[in-house]
Amino acid sequence: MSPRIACLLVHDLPLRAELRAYPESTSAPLAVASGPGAQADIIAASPAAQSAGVRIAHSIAQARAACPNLQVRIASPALEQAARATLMDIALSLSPRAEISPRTSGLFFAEASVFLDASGIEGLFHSEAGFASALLARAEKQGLPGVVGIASSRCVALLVARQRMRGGSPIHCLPPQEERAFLAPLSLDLFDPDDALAQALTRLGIHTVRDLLRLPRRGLAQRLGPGALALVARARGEDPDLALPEPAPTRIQESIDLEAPIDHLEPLGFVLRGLLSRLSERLALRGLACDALELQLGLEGGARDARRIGLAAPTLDLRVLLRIVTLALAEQPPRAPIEYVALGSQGVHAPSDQLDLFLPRGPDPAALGRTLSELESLCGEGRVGAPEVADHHNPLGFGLGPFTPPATTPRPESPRPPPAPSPAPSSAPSSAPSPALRALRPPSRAEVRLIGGKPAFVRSAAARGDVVTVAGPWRTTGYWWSEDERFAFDHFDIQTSDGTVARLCFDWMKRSWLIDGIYD
Amino acid sequence: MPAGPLTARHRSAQSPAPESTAPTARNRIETLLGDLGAQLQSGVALRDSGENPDAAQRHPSGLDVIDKLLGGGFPRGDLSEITGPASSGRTSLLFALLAQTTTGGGHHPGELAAVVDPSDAFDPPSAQAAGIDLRRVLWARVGAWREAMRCTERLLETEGLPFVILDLAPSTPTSARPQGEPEIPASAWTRLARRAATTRTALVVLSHQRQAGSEARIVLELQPTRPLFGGVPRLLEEIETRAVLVRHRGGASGGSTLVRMGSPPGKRAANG
Repeated sequence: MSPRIACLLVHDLPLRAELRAYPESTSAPLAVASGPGAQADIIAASPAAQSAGVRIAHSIAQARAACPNLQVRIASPALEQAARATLMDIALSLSPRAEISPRTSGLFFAEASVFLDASGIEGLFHSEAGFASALLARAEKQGLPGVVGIASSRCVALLVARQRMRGGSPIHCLPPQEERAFLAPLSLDLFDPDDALAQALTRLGIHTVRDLLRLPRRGLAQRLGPGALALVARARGEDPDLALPEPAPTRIQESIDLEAPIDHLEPLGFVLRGLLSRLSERLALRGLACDALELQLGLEGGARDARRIGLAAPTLDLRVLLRIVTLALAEQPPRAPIEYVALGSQGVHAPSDQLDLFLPRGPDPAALGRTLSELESLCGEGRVGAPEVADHHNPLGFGLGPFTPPATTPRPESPRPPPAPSPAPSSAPSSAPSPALRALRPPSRAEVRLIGGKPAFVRSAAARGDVVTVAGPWRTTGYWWSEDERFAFDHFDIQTSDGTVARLCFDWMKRSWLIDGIYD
Repeated sequence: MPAGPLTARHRSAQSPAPESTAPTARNRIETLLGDLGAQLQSGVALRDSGENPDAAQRHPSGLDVIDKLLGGGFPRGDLSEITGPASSGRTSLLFALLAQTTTGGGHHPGELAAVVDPSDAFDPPSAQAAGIDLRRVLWARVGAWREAMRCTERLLETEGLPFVILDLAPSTPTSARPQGEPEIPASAWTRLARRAATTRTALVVLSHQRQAGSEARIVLELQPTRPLFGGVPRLLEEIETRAVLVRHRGGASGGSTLVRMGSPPGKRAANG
């Protein structure tokens, strides 16, 4: 069985890349120029601009003369790179193997194409046309409308797609047995030969594949140049390239060169929203969620500001992502106005869970992830998670780890114990676990009067009055070998005359009295 | 003899007529449904046998006297309040509740719980000593009450998180309400109560005084009686408090009980 290759082709990538970043310009006459200055060439133009008379290879001055209200944007390598990567994401959302074609500089310099392995897709899409429709729909959703050609090799699939660009249905699935007949009348311009070869062919009056294949192969390279043999092979539909590779995992990035530097957070928010929207859509295409964001800012004067923003749980919630990035920038603003912004993420697979019939249903992992991320955006980074007991004896220490609750708790195997005896009458006290401590963070400083080495009077924000009852002290020391981390406390449990039961401590390092918790 | 009719007669002799298969199939289905019904009943029995049917709608507090006072525990899908001054045992009761929820009391599977903590007062070592499975506790160390209310609302919107605690008890008696900080509007409590009802989540608010007004189904006020120091060397062993059911919508209020939050022997020695 011959392989089947699909080619998704976008013929005006610079324009589409701009429209992805600036969707508000979709209906306006828009042209993309190769550089600044009135003499720079127009390399892509929107349908509205073309209908007003703007043509590819016009200068900006000519284009403005033809269409006075023309919007002109300078081609952005960052946006084009992101658009090309998006094509790859679209392809990988439908096929396990895909490859983006290299950039070309000839007649088709503005096009971008991606090749997908379409072998055996009938089981999923019923037909190659159904597969091509799905591919086209995803590309349009990402702001990259194009055409799709399917054939038995990359070369023919690309030619089919290029042929479709000239009109007709945007989808063409070419059966293997019809390839020869399809290729024969094709113009050799579709193969984009180099200038020398194109001139030689024109001189000889060879315009189509049929004309080329009629030439004797012997001495062809000598007569037409070294590129002739490769052109003949492509004209025969032979694919010199190897099979499509499995893609290496890559970091997904969206970036933008700003037209004017931004020095306020609010306008930057609009830029970030667009970037995050495109980033999350691309991650979704690959079935990934964002667990951390890598933010790169290009600052005025050439400086760079790179930071990594962690998330409490993987999410694709645009509102949460935007809030977290905005908070991070508000906490630590960049030192200069921003000229370039890039947001990237490696992406992780969203967590899933297996439900148990006999256990209470916990939160859906994806929903929990969204909640955690949103909580972190409200509380701040590193302030949401599962509490942990610190692995040291400093009474002021604690930990906060990621909230990843165990999926299930085994049901006790032993039979259920008999019901507890009826509770004691209300006059008889019932016993519960230990008195809990409410931590004071930071500890409240206290003034203490000692009598016989024991606290007799305390005055602090947490408790004040005569010490009615006291227990202790208990000494806790640790990290004696570390200048910065060593600690030594003498703790007392006290009850003051205002009724408060507190944990009072003397910090030997700072030589001060503290109340670090209230028993409650 | 022609083969066709013979084959047909042979088949009809070997297998029952379609009309006669229907009762058999029905019987089999009925038997199967009977078995399945018995299994389902035993599944229910595993969970709830011997309990009040209303118990499934309540979160046991882990303290029998409190459960008796509340009629089974803190209600799911409703807002409850625990109020009282410092050292009245609010946090100890909360920890007992969390321990019961996260471990299932040893009889049920543990569930998840969330603590929204604007005072940053949650003490993990103390919580672990109280028997809480810390892996099942989501701790949100939020900064101000507005964010705390937003966090709580977001948690209440999360399906499958059955227990949410909003700890509004001030860190110190003098910081009951920071100067210039407005009172939490009643509409905020209405909103939280509705969210809790939607997702059948038990929302328990801990504070120094009543906050939620009529939105609270249960208000349990803790009045400290005395701390108990004892033993050699002298240790803080228990806090004794009186729990008064100030409000119980749909039930009898005004009841009270004495509770002791006690220290297990040897705890202090272990901390050394």
